[in-house]
Amino acid sequence: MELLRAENVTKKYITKKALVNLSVTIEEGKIYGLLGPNGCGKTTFMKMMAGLIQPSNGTIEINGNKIGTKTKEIVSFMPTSNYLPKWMKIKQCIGYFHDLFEDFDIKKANDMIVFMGLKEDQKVKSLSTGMLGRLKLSLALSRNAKLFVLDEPFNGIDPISREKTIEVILNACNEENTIIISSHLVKELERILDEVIFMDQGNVIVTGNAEDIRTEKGMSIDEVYREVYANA
Amino acid sequence: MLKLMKYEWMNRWKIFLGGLTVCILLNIDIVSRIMNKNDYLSLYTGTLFLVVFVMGIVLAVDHIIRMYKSLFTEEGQLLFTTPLSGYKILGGKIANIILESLGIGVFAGIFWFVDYKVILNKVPELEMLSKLPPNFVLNIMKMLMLMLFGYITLILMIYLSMALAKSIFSAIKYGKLLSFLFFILISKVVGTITSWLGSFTDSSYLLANGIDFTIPNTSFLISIGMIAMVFIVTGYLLDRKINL
Repeated sequence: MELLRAENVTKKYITKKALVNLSVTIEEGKIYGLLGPNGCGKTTFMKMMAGLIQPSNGTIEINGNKIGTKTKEIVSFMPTSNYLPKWMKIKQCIGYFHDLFEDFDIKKANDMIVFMGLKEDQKVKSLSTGMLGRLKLSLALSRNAKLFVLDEPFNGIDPISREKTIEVILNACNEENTIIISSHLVKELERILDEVIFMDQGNVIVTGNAEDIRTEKGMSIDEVYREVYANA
Repeated sequence: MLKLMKYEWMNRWKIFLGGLTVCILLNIDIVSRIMNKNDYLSLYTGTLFLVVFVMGIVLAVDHIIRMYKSLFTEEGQLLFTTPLSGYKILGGKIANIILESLGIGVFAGIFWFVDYKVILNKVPELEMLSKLPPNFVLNIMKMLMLMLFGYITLILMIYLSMALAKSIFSAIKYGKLLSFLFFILISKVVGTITSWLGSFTDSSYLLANGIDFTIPNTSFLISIGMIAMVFIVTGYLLDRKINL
């Protein structure tokens, strides 16, 4: 079942276009990999899904609704940057999410914080990049959202914690929700992906089922990635 | 909206408590010096007023920074992914500012009244409350409320120009400069509309009669109208047009 539909989405900035007539459909119950080199428009598109950026042209609908408060109720976004207030302790971050997102599961969050090796009394400003990444992911995945949008969830996370991160993402996935992940670490990510979307210069250049692409091209998604962006 | 207000306050209550403590200590000191007819009384009074003035400026800057942080720093990405409309986000911030201003006003009033009663015991000739015309206190309250409305209008105009910088002007090279110029323009427009509407009222702001004066109720309606207008436009931009 279709969860998200983007039609002819364009985003113009001062000197360039971040997205150019982008059209894509995202279905329910799948894990999507949004892949592409730096500056290809992945983050802009993800921020649009989260309602943080408005398209200059075109429309995005999630669950039949245009981006707004209705869609924000069902979209859980994890940005690359540290969007958590630095003065907060982890338990206050959990409280904030619990207070402001109706679908936030506080028990799930507490369990995930422990699993990720974090402590409730730690202050956000005292966390390392990796710890912060784990905290952001724990908070985002503790919502019972329909669409999880994870922008570079492995940024700054060491290889061992990355395994944990992948496990947490897999556990969050079920038939009723969808996860969109952007990452440069295609090799590590590709085993959990159902679908892939390759982007370049603000548009989708290849999209399809990960297994079909592997069979058709006779190579892994990581190799396809390297081939597609060889000149990028 | 109440939950948003709670988190704005969680970060600030210690600062307010600190400010309040400083004011109480300075106030006690100054009252005791008045009671003892200290030679440096005017110096101390001046210092107290200076401290209160600086605190007021710091608070006003903090009121502006709150929206700046939400729109121009990464923290805004958390706030604007919550399922709260732009109107609720703005409403939460403005409600906090109103509550803080009223709270400060109430504290200042209590301080003044307690000081007055304490000093009156020592210097009974300073008694003046009973000499005030009946309407005077009511109109002083009205004037203070109008000052608060004026302050809220100013803060909303600043928020509006910030919202413009992050929405309509976000794709323009000199968007921030443009939004600042727009702030000046908005101030001009709001000022012009206020005086234009004021010219239709049956009286001027102050109808002086000795120390007695009257503030017409239409002044309140005009102020509330201005606040509503700027609030709706800013809320709309935050709700529908924002680019973080």
